[in-house]
Amino acid sequence: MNIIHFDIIDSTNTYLKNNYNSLDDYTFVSASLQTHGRGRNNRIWNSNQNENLLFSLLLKNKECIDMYKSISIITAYSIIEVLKDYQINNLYLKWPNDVYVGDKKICGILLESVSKNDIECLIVGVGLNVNQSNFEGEYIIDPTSMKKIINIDIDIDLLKKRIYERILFNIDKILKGHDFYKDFIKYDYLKDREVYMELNNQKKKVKVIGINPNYSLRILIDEEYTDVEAGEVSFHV
Amino acid sequence: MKVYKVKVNGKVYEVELEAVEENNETIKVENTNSAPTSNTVAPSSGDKVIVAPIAGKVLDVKVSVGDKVQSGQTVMLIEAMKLENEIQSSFDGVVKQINVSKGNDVRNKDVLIVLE
Repeated sequence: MNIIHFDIIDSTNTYLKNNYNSLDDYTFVSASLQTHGRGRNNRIWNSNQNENLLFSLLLKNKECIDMYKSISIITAYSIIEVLKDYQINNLYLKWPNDVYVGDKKICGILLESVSKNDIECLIVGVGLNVNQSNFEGEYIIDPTSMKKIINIDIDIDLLKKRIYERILFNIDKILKGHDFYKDFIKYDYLKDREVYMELNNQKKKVKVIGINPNYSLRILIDEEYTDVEAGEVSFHV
Repeated sequence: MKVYKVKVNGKVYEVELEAVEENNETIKVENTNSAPTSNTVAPSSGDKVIVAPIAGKVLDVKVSVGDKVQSGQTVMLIEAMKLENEIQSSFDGVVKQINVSKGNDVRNKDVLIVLE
């Protein structure tokens, strides 16, 4: 295992983007505090120091790069599996990149890549709320944490090791041909919900059918079935 | 709409089939803002091109025409599905032409930027 830990860093994803050339495949970088933690579309990811698990995983091999469409969901599914081991239930995967407990967000995933004429590497960034009890400020989705749910302090180093191993285990399984579709669709948060879809600054009410086997999302909009892949689309319940 | 069971590689899938009139169009939300292609100039010999590694949507263009660019410098961000992709130049050069702008959709291997 190649695990690097920083007490303070701007962003573990940024560190891997700047250093991927000299680091080994499957390098795992964690931090006690990120000063510029990010979510999708440069949204800020706030986290108290030493209270949460903030990490990024570097994937450089071609097999992983070729399956980039599945990486966010496999990572989210791996985290759900580990959270279940901690007796946390009511877990959902909110397409494309969040883990919920009930209607509250416990984990966000940011998948990035660096390309020249081809993709050179994938970087999977994860922020998992672990021991943080108070979340100040305003959130689009109410946050929660492992401690708020099971009311005990979690050993973050042990949790980190378990999640790293589970992600690698599941990546290995998918590389060997395992189909996770039937595993993760039971956690599909948006399935059968009527939600507001935001596209190009326009809001529209749509019915979500569910996640497709190719990891896109099927929706019913204006009585037509459409598969959504574009990153500019966001959903609000 | 009719529901059928289809067997593929030994697995049974339930599929819904719907007859579509020839002139009906399915809404494709991911293709609402395509990159312009008609008024771009083909690169000449000696030019270096930066191409899209995947299909997606342009989130940001980090350079302007006339800018000096170094190999490894980030020139554009493209998002595809759940992936935010940082496009780096493989060459040193000066930006001669930018074929896309923020919000455009691009296809795999579309020429994004021409350097000279």
